[in-house]
Amino acid sequence: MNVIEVKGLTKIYKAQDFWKNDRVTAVRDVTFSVQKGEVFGLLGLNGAGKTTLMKVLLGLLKPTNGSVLILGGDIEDRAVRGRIGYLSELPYFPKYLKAREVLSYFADIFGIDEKIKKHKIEEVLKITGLDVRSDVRIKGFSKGMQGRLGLAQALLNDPELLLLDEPMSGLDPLGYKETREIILGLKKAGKTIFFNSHILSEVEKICDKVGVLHKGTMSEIKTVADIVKEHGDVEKYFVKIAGEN
Amino acid sequence: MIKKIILVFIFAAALLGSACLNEKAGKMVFENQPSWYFINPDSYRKFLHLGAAGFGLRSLAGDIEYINFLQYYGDRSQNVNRHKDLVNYVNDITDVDPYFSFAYTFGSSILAFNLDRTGEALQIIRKGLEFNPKMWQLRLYLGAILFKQDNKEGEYIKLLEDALKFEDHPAIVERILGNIYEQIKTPQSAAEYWAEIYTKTKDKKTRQFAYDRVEAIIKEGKLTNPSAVIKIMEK
Amino acid sequence: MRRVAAVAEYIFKQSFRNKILNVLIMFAVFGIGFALVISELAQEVEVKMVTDFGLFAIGLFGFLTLALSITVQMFEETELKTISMILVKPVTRLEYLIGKYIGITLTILMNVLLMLITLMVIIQIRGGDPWSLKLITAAGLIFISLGVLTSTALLLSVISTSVPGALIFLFFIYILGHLTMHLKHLAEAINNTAANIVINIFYYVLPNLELFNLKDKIFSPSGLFSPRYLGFVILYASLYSFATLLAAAYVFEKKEY
Repeated sequence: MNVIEVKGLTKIYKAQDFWKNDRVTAVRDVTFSVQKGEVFGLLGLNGAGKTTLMKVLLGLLKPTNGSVLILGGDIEDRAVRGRIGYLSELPYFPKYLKAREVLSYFADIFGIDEKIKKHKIEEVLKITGLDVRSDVRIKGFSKGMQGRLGLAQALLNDPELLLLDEPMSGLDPLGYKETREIILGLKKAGKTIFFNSHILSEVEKICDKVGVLHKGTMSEIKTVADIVKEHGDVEKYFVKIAGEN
Repeated sequence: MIKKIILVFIFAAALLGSACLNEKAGKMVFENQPSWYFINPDSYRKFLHLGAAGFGLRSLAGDIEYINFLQYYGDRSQNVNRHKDLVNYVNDITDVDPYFSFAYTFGSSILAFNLDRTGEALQIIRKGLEFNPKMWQLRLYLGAILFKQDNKEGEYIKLLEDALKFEDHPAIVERILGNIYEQIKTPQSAAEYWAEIYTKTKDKKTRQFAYDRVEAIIKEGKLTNPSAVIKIMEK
Repeated sequence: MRRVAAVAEYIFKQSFRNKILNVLIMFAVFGIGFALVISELAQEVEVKMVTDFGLFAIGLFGFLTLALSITVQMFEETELKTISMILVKPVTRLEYLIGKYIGITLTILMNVLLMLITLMVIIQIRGGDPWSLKLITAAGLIFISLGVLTSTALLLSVISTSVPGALIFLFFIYILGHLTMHLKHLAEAINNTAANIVINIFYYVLPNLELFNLKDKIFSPSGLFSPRYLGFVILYASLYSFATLLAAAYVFEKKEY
């Protein structure tokens, strides 16, 4: 079953200044799908359109052309959104709140039943290893801990699909390892994960399949095993595609 | 598409409804308030007044003008020319806030009884009555000033005594009456009056003034019954 | 409903934690300081002066609370990108917007109430009547006008792309909203059709904030404190807020983040 199904997706931005009529094509005719239980890595240079693609998948941007199906439905559908989790790049949380308070707010927005809310919060705190720091104000959190809190809020609704935007950015090598372990744990639990990243070595360790977005167009989707067989490692493959033209 | 039309319709209806209510309520404001309530280049001599009218702060601007007036009246260097601009200062207050009734009674009392300029005092009190016809206390002051103009001492003292009976009289009336009593009554009854004022006045300066007067009269040694005065003060 | 309440509660809490309520401390210091100065200067009209100044300050600091709240909200949403994390959750944009509206108005309500209580205490100490119905009505209408401005500010915040832009427009509307009534009065005196049309458009499209201004009519003999007038004004506020919130919801629904 396809958890994400994108067909002929094009996204054109209009210029912000209203007296100019500039248009930028950020994503051009992209077609791909992600199957249940897969970990899909989206690679690309800065400005390749990764974040735009992610936002279209999330319904934050509306596609100019083409169609997007998430979990077999429309992302505009409240029920569909209730089944996904999303972590933005460098997530921000109010400094004066505690991890538990932030999660309680997000749990209310998810509409999680008051009875199981507390239990759910404890569960995600445990998964992300924040349970020991949950009563410290976010002011005292390191970047890595904030990232983990971002992941924790994405897991509150026990999502079938997780979309992670640069989950490793701003972390130190130890942070990479911790995040990687969490993601691999989620993979083991059968979640489908779609994420974009710059850190190719991590992508290689975590992903089943990889797609490279370059100047708005998507390369052929390949499994990591195939890439390693053909090119030696993901980095060489990436450089080959991104280095063309 | 249908949803969009309905939304536009509801939006237009709400905006139209609000415009109607705006019109109705606005009309009530226009009818209820005199024309000087609105910005009017002809009627505002000062920029402060114009700005205050624009932002609905006329009452506050009146307070600021009142403080200006107090400072002018308290300025001793102006004693030489007998505070010749005092009437303008009162007009500044009442131009921006014609409902500042205290400014009329206070200003006119000073002008008529302390500075002996009954003409200007009458001008002030008549302006007050024009805007506050229902404030009958103003008529009391009008009467007192008119009698003062005609030098009918007995008549205006009676009216000032009446004014004193009302809560909202300016403390200056207390002093004016006291000064008159010192001239026309016995030292004993003048001292008793000042002692009474000392216990009753709301104004700190007047209280001190009353105290000083009692002390001065006692020192002159003309009291027939000093203990009665002290008894009043001890209340 | 629960989601709306969650957003409202979050925004309400946020105003505490972001120290927006420091505005109140400023008010108290201002108010008490002013009352002390006045009691030296003009004891006989002290209560009037303290009331005038207090109501002026409630309006001003209430507006500052609104401006600060909107700035904090917009900054977090657009610059720190917290909005994307919220909007991908199963909450509709309408629910989020209404939650924000309720949260901000609650913050303002609490500020206005606390300032009013401070003012009433000062008036009581200075020998005035703190339970004067006119005083409480005037303060109530200040709150309602701030509610109208909140919905307008939310519309501005979804229309404009930058925080300073929205703020500048908000101040512009605050000033013009007070002046349109005077402009209309002036326009009736001049015979210029074009100017008249422009002024009338402003008069009916911008919020007429002068309708809510009873603070300078407290001490006037004929006031606008009749139930009929208050009814009109409250209904006006509700319809106008509804229209602006509807417009805001429509723009917000279409907006891309």
